[in-house]
Amino acid sequence: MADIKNLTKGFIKQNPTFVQVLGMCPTLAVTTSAENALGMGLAVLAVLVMSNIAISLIRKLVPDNIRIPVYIVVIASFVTVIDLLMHGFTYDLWKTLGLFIPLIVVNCIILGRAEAFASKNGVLDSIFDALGMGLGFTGSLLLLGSIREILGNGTIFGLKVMSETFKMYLFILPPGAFIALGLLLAFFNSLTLKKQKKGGK
Amino acid sequence: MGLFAIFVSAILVNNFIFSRFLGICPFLGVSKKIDSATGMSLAVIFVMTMAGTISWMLNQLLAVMGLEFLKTIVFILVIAVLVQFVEFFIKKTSPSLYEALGIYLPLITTNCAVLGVALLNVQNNYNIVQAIVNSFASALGFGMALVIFAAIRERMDNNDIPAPFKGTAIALITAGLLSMAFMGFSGLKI
Amino acid sequence: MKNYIKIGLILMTFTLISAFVVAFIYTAVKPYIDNAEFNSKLKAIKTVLKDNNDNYLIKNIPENSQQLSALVWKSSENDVLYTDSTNAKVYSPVYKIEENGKNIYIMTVSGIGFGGDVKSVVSFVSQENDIYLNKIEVIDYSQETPGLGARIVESAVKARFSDIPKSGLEKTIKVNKDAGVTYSKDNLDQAKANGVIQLTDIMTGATITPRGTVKSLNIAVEFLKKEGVM
Repeated sequence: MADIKNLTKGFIKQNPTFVQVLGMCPTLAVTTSAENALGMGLAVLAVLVMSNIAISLIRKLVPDNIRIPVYIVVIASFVTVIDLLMHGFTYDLWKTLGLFIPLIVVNCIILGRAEAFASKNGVLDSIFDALGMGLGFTGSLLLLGSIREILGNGTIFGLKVMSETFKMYLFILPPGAFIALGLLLAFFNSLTLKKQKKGGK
Repeated sequence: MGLFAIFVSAILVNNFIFSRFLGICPFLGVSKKIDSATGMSLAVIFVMTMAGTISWMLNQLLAVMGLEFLKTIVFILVIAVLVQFVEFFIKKTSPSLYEALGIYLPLITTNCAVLGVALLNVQNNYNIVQAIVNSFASALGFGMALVIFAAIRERMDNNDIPAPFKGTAIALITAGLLSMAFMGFSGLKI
Repeated sequence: MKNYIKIGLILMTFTLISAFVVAFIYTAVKPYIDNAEFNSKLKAIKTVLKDNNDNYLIKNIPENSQQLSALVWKSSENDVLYTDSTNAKVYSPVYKIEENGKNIYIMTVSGIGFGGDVKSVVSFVSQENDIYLNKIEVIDYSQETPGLGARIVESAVKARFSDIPKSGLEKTIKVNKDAGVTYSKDNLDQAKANGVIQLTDIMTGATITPRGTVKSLNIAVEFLKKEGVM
């Protein structure tokens, strides 16, 4: 039967952003606001689930030596579908995310899960895996996006939470993305190290 | 936009790594030593220039047939094939470089910078010459960022970095400072 | 060799199946896409048809694609109607609405900003012998820096570009940094009469994006002069 652990491991233990350090490009680029981060996270989640299901279904049909190009074609198709749907139904978000929607194709997380998991496991397990990783990724994006929006713009999801005087524009700009992510990563690393130290004792 | 303007803008003003956030994964992954960084940069320059140009030509074909929505699938296939060739070529000519690059060579396929430049050429409605110049210049900008970063990281190896920051975290903060430096180019009037 | 052919064929099969699925979804979604694009364009046009008190300048506002097509004044086969040496562009089509002796010209224009084109929809109101620039609505600023140049889309900034009288238009519009003067908030009308857009008090650290917008306004004026309206 399907293992529920596949779902939860994507949240913290194997979090795509902070543990596996995958999918960095969209993480830095679209987290200028919490809303954009959420939009991108959900788009990636959708593609991840669909591609994991498809690849798990065809895993026995694909010859081993061309599996990567075939997976890429499958993923690219789902990304194009999501791009079209967003263009038609969520126009403003589509315009904001712009180039980074088709770039979901090369998001290492999706190809990574296809290769590491979906190609070797059943459909239900693959769905759990995709959901876990996708939600973990969305969570990290949302965290980074919220921090950058609050510190850089004084708002969260467009609602004002801080006065103009404390705004630090840096965080909305490219350098701020690097620095915010670096500091968050260091913070999570320090938690892990503390845990290891406690365990060691 | 004039060719010179495109060239300078792609390298300095809108640097792929520090401004556009394209190509971060190899940027963080291959930048630990200057040698592998240089090797990777040369490979990427070749793939990006060829991929940008070929994709542009294929897009013209797709546009004529009204099938532009298939460009993502077509572009990524072109890139995958190009990377296979490059891998083959490097394996034959420089086995040591092949060893050094390891897994990162086939990963050029998933390098956002390559697909990114192909899509940008189309988005900006460039003609063939502008597309070639933009692809080449963007790749140069990527390579330059990669080598500069590798040089800094090699020297940082000897520093006493606090434990939580070791590895990717301090690399990101360094990249942030470099990005700030590159923002100085934004006033460049060409 | 045979092996390569087999691999190629399998890859091609998967690609063709994927292409068909995508093509199917595309045909299904295309009407929604066209609708979304049109609504976005219509929204911009309706915004520039309002004056500074948020009231519509005219009574008959176009609401759908047919009504809008009826208002086309100038158009061309390709996208761009008119361009100049700075690569600023006037896009096809240009609309003209006539009502009560007033002629309103609505144009989509662009100028080179920081990373690419900054596109705006602008409206000019012409009545008797006078003409003024009513309003701009920035619709594409995706290549500008968020937090700096991208602030061009804020209403306070856009308002600085509105209500520019004929004298200002004829003097060639400039941002105040390029004109070398600074006007206070109370003298904005005087600034506009001289063709100066006062921006440095509300938007700093980004001159290139407003410059791009200014270029697009100047080419709009040039186009109107060429067509004998000014």
